[in-house]
Amino acid sequence: MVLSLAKPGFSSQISHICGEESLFMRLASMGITEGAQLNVIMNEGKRPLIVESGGSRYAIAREIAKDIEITEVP
Amino acid sequence: MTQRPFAIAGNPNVGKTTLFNSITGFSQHVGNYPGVTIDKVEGTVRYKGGVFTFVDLPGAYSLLAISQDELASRHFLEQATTNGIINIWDASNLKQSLYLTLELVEMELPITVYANMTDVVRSRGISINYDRLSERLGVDIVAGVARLKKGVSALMESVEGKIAVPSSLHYTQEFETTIKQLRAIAGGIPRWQAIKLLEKDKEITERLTTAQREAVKGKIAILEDEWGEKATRKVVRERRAIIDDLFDDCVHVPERKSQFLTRFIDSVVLNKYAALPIFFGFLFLMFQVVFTLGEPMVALLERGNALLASFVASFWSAGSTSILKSLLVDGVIGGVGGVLVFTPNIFLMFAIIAFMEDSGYMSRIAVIMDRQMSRVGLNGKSFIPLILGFGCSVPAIMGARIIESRRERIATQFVVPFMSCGARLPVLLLLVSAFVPAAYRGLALSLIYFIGIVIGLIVALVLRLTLLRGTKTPLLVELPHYNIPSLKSIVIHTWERGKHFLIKAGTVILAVSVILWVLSAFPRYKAPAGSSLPETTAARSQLEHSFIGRLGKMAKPIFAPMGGDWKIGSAFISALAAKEVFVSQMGILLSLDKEDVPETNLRTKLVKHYSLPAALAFIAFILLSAPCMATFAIMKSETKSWRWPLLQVVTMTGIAWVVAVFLYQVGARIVGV
Repeated sequence: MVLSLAKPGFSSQISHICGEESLFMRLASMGITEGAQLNVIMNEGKRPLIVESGGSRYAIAREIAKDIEITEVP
Repeated sequence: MTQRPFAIAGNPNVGKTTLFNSITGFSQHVGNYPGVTIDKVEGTVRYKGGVFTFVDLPGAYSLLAISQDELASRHFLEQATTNGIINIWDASNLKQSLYLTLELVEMELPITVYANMTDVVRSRGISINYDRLSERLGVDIVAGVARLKKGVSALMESVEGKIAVPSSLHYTQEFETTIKQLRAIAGGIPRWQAIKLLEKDKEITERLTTAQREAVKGKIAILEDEWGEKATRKVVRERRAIIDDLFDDCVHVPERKSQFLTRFIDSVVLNKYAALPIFFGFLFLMFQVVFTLGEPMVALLERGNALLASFVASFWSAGSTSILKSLLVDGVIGGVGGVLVFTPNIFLMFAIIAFMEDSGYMSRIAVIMDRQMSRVGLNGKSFIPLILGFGCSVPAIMGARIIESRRERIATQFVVPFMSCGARLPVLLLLVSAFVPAAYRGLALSLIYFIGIVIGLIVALVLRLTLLRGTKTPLLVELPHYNIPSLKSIVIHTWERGKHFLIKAGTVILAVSVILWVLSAFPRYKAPAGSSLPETTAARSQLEHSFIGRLGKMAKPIFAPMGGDWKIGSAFISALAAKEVFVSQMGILLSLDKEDVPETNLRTKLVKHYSLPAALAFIAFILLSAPCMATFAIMKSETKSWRWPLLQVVTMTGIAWVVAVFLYQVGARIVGV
């Protein structure tokens, strides 16, 4: 599923990052890459999503979250 | 003979310049290196009989030639003119710092690591095994806190010995083979360049011959087929695998404590409904605190200043026309003292900004303001430099480097000076406390700041629709875990920034005050022979006769429509050097004006001379008009052109004049002046 649709409390793993390579590199240099664990903390309205990955917390704009595919990790 | 320098390299905002300053002290100058177009700051230091030179490279997340800064840094390192690299880490954000480190290791240059911000690491309960990390990376690691100069001598010790070239970290067997093949195809290029070819680095690719380029392109196409993904992604995956492995091996992050606090606070301050009210409430509280807490201290300092003035004056007989007396009492005490009495307010403002930064709230502001900022074509990150601008425009404009897109960055830097800075605070406080009843002063001050923000954002929108058109970069920021800031760290941060204000008062403001005094005391006015004028009339004639009086009168047509006289005009002109000078200038002009009792303070004198609508107009003008010299200079160096700082001066002064004149003309009609 797409990250932008994930509900708060959803724990997942990044399966694929679509979109331009520049976005991929930008996310990667910050530590967000395919295979990383990702927990959704907040996802409301049009505001940026708040997620946790590898002990760090990030704010990700909705436009970016639409390009991140995740799979649920029970 | 110049020594080969050591280069200091690291991500943006990890304390590179702080480290550089703690190593080199004041022995810096801007150096130019052949083949490199960007100016670099260079400094030398003597240590154990040797002379060591250091170069502060621009901050970079990676060595991929995306921005000019990154490319310039890479060129510099590549020319192998360095003695070695000091790679600075933000140890509290190790995964990000390590990415650049891996790229530096790929270049096979001598490296020593300085792990900065280890105090933050400790306060978050994170433990890092530096020995193990050092062993695995094959580099020396010095743990320290640059801000407190901790670990700096250990770093010098490491630099003084020989810095080793790290034994190459090995990627997977498959990837290493690929690198070897590419090196051969491209004519024996270094290892790092082969990796950059996989990352599709334009500049490295262009260095190849046409035949080599074709061969490399073909090879990469085959590899991508084999891997089932783009080569860029493969490179990132290889690096991340090593970083994750290093992290798991050497770092222990406690789960509970910090995360619980972070979750709780974020659920409140980022709440859909509460976020904005909390943020604006916080800002309002900030202005209240700056005013109400600072006020008693200011009153005390003002009394001290007046006492000092009458004490110094008592060395001369009453009514003495000594030039020295006038210089000391009117020029130095009236000028510098008038500014210094506002020190408490400025330090309070810096302390609150330090609290926002140290606690972790500052980066949340990017999230809270993201939707509002997107309406003016920027993302939430742009609001952080604006908040910093309440302290000082210069670091705020430099702080805008965190914004990736050039157009968005310049638009942000352009409007930073609309945020009322610490130097304008004395002027605003002087005028507000003179004209506004005590109960409403905090509110008035908040309103002034708010007007600055709104006008700034409107200007940003106009820029994004015209000169700086472009698509908006979506927000992506890391939100550090909350941290209860230690009093010590807030005091240090506040002092580090606030001391510049004191230094400025002792240097620039002192010099400008003396110059202004000279301009107002000369040429000397000679009363017509035989006539004996009363003292007050003589002093007034002197002022009008002086250089500043003449200059102010020349500028009168500009300032008259906003209710200003030649004194205000000359104060505004002098304020171009530094905004606080407005206060000193008015202090000097009104204290030379002997019509008043010398002991009455500046506020009382102002109320006597000017009406309320005029005061409002002056506030608007000082808030919105051309930024100070330092801001102009930093705008020039950050945008690398004259265009933006010049446009900024013209735009701001134009807006300031229109708003000030409007306020006075409307106000005067309402009040009936």
